[in-house]
Amino acid sequence: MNVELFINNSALPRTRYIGWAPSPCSIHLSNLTGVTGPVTVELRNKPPAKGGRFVFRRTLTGPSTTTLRLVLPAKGAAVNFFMLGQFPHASFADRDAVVQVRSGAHVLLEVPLMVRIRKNANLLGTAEVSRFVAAFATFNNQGLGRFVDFRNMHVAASSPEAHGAPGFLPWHRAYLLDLERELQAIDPSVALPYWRFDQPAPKIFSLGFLGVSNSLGTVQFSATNPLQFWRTDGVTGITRRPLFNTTTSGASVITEAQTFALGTQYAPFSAMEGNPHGNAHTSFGGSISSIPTAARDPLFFLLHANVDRLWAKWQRLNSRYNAGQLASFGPTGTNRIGHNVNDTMWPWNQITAPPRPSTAPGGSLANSAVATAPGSKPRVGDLIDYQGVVAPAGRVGFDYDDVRFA
Amino acid sequence: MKAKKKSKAKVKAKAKKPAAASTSSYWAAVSSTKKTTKQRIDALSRLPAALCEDRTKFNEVLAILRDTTQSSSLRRATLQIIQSASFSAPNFEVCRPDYLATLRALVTDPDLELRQRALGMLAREHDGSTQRLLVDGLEEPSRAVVPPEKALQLLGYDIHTDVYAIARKIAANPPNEAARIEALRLLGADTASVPMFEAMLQDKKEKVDARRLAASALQALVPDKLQGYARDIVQDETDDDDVKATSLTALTDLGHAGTVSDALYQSVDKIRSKSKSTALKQSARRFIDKYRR
Amino acid sequence: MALSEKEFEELVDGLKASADGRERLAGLLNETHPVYAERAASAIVRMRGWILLALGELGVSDRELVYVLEELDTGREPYLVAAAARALRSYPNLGGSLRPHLERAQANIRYRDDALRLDRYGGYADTPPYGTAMAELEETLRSIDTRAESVPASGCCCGSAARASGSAGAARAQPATQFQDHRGSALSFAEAFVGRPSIVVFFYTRCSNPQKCSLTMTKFGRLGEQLRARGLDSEIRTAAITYDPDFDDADRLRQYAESRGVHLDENHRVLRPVNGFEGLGEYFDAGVSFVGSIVNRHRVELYVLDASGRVARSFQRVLWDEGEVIEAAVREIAKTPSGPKPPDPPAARSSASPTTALLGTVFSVAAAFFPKCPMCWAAYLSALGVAGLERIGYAPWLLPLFIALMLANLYSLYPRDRSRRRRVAFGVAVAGALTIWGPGILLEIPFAPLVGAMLTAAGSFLAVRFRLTAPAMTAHPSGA
Repeated sequence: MNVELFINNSALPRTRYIGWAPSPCSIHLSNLTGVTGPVTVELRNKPPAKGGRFVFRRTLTGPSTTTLRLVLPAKGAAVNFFMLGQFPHASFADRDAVVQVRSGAHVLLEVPLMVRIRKNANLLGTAEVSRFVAAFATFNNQGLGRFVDFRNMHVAASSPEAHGAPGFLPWHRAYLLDLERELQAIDPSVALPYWRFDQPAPKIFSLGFLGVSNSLGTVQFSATNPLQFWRTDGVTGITRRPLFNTTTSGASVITEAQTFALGTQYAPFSAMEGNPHGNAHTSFGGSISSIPTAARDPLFFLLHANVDRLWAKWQRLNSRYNAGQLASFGPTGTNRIGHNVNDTMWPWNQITAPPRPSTAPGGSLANSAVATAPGSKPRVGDLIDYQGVVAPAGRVGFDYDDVRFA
Repeated sequence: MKAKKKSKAKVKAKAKKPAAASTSSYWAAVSSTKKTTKQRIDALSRLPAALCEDRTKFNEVLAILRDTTQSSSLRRATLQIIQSASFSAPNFEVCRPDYLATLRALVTDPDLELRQRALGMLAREHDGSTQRLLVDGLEEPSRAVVPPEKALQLLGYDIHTDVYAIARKIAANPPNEAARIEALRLLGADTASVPMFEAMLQDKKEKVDARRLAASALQALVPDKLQGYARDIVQDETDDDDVKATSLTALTDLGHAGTVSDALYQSVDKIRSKSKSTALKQSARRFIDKYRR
Repeated sequence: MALSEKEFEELVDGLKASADGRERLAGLLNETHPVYAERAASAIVRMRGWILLALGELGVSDRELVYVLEELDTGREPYLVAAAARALRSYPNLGGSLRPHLERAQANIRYRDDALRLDRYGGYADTPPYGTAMAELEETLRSIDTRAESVPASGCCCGSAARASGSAGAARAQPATQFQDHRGSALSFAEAFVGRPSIVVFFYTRCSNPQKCSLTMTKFGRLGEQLRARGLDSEIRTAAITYDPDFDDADRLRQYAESRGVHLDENHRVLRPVNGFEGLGEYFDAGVSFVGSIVNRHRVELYVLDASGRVARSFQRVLWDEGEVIEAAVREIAKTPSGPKPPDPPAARSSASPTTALLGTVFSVAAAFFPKCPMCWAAYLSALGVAGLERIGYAPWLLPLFIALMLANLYSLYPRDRSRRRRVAFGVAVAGALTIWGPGILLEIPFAPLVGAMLTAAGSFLAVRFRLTAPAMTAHPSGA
């Protein structure tokens, strides 16, 4: 008698990544030799749980438990349940969490998985940093890789698609998600970390991570850091000159609390596009401080991950997951194209007729092994319920280390 | 009931008013010479979203930036805030020409920090007047507005400039090491510089930073060739540890298993166990982890 | 570089006063002019802007119009766009047909505008007063409105005149260029381009103007889709050639093309010349200039080659239409001495088909020669020689039926796309029908039915012929 466990609706290893939001799972008996009746099994975190931890829910809205007892039908029918990361215990490495399925004292199955969470980049371990920069450098591939499409998505010509209107936050959320999925295609254990720009971040701005700027603003890397081969627009290297002391202070931005105080409704809250977002960019000299060149610097993506995290946290504080509510997105239907809830978003919609930009680099939004949302041509509203709070099918497959599931 | 509704409405209206009053008071504070610099900077920081809505007021802010009698900190804060507003391109559309004109006026400003930042912003826009100014300064140092290494760095934002000839001269005969490195970085876009980088990488007497930069340039320009050089360097016991570490990183992150011979693998394994350099051991470990046999 | 920019500025100023100034200024706009060699791209912007402004002062004619429209269609430098907009105001046939170019320029430049002094070489402004590219574009649009009110439409096909599409130039010897394609395979010019018609574009991956190379490759991808949809992808080859072969290796080329939706296979490639680049450039008269190894200026250019690899048609400077390009290539298929004919294009805008045309002609002839009496009817049927046919009864109702069918044929020939050629064919068929009906049936003028039948037949067959060589529909996705 065996059991088969499906995580995120599949038994494949590439789907064994969960976050704080419930992932649909199922278990059933396979190889029914010797099975005479229903079998009771218990699922649990295999001890010792040193890495990621998870909990179970029998139903989507039911209580979370650290173990789950299920009765499996003798004929092999599947029993559904949910797994979710146990906040705040994210994994440190791939497969450092293990689901153990027992029948009595007998272990039937052990499946390793990862509680894959976007973390504060300044708190990452050495191995996590190493995996992230390696994946990013591979993605850039000395200017040859697909990163060039992401660089070309964020230029002056495409600015109206992504800035200055309500779609700013959803567009960048989709942008980061697309990039993260591409990184995960290289190394599935990677999640996009965020730069907490209102705090000092000495580890981020180090030779082994995103580099140390010399007095000119040319970024230096250690000889072991693959980002030393980073190349964009035909030029090797990164130009970034902090206008603040990265070791002892944050950028000149408003604090997290001040950001949330901008408003409990989306419209006033989205003024964060100016400060802290714009201020974070312009706390440097160099590529990241101008729109046409900002995406040349890998720090750009960690900056925007923090912008997105602030939005996610604000959403949780104010229960803003319903795209149909004014409070969650603001007025819709009369905004510039690409900034209404039901608008598709460039470039993923591949529309190049006016008023959209004339080229759409990068193709559709990357797929994920762990979530079907938001689809390859997402609409603005598809990025609002990112955890599947309103509709479970809306879960897109990422979470932040300090924003639990609603 | 009606009275209650009315008073609720009054409270709401009152709550709205302070916001409108604040914006105009912030504008007033920005321009006020009676306020302290800190107060004026604080007032500016509350305006980004509204910065371009009123062009007259926006030009008053630009006037602060142009005014060399204003304090440096106020002018720099003003520049940062305008730059921050420029990120919202659709809302900044009508203000952009005025902004660029003001930046051009700052490229010869007595404040070096403002000068550099203005030049940087213009260089990133591929502004021709800025490129011409920077190249002039390289060709005739008496006309330079920034040090040569800074000029070279800024010219690197656009590979379509005519700086390559002067960059080659500076690389061969640099006024300082920083200028040389920036010249070399810039030449990494020039396929005609491949022989120079090849010679540099293989020259053990060359400075380590320059050799590492040569490796980056070659990885971009002639990746297969660089991989070959990297394999040779890693197996050369007399070569520099940092250059070896860079070579191993290139082989690990940008190479392919098919090019890893047994001899190379064993060399790297030996480095992993015996090297005294932490960086080199680390890069060897990564190599072995990737190409494990 | 022989000239400093100051000297160049003075040269242009001097040409404004010269008798052949306009022609010489236009000559300076050729990208391969030595005056652009080894210049920064930004210097070339200054130079070309100054030339356009000078042409504007002299008055832009049809010959120079294409250079103006080029900047409006694909320019991203405010100074050049402003200069082009201003120069366009001097064009004597300024009319509504040029509006789309101006509107495209507005879309291209609105978030990249700059403060400009067009009275200064280079246009850079650091203090007020100054203008902007958007202001120049708006001024030119207002000029169009003003002229539309005061001057009747001239009927000038201004836009098409300025498309700088050319027909076959002088026959040139094939270049001895060797290519490497996106898979790393080697091939010669002959292997790449001889044997069937080809569509060739030029680009390079380090191009910083998304309205040029990135857009060219995106359109190249759409062109490939249309070829596949029409079943022409094995009849017509396509190739995108890089200007920058030293930098653009096979991997880079493939990545760039595929990320813009280009489908690559053995007939549809991206190529880098591994040698003989100069000869290739001369063969195509490619419009490109360099600073060191890097392109500093190039034009948008597409070439349709015949099956022998000769340039049959060129599309330069302004944005080309995928459908028009494909039709130019389809014409080359028809000219190919041996080899398969192109498959029928999808349903054309009129429903004319050879069958319809034949039937229509038959009905028209039948109506023309319909016997007026039962005896004539029997005589006709007997003359057809089929035994017993004459015993079929006289059916006068057949005449109105034939006339109705003849009208139905005319309806099918009606050119819904208002193509000039199909209008001619329709006109001939109508003349034939009127001749049959009026002088033939009503007035019973001898030879009138015969003349009418011949005209009807001619009109029907012309319509079929033009349909076979018609431009295909180009579907554009709607913005939503």
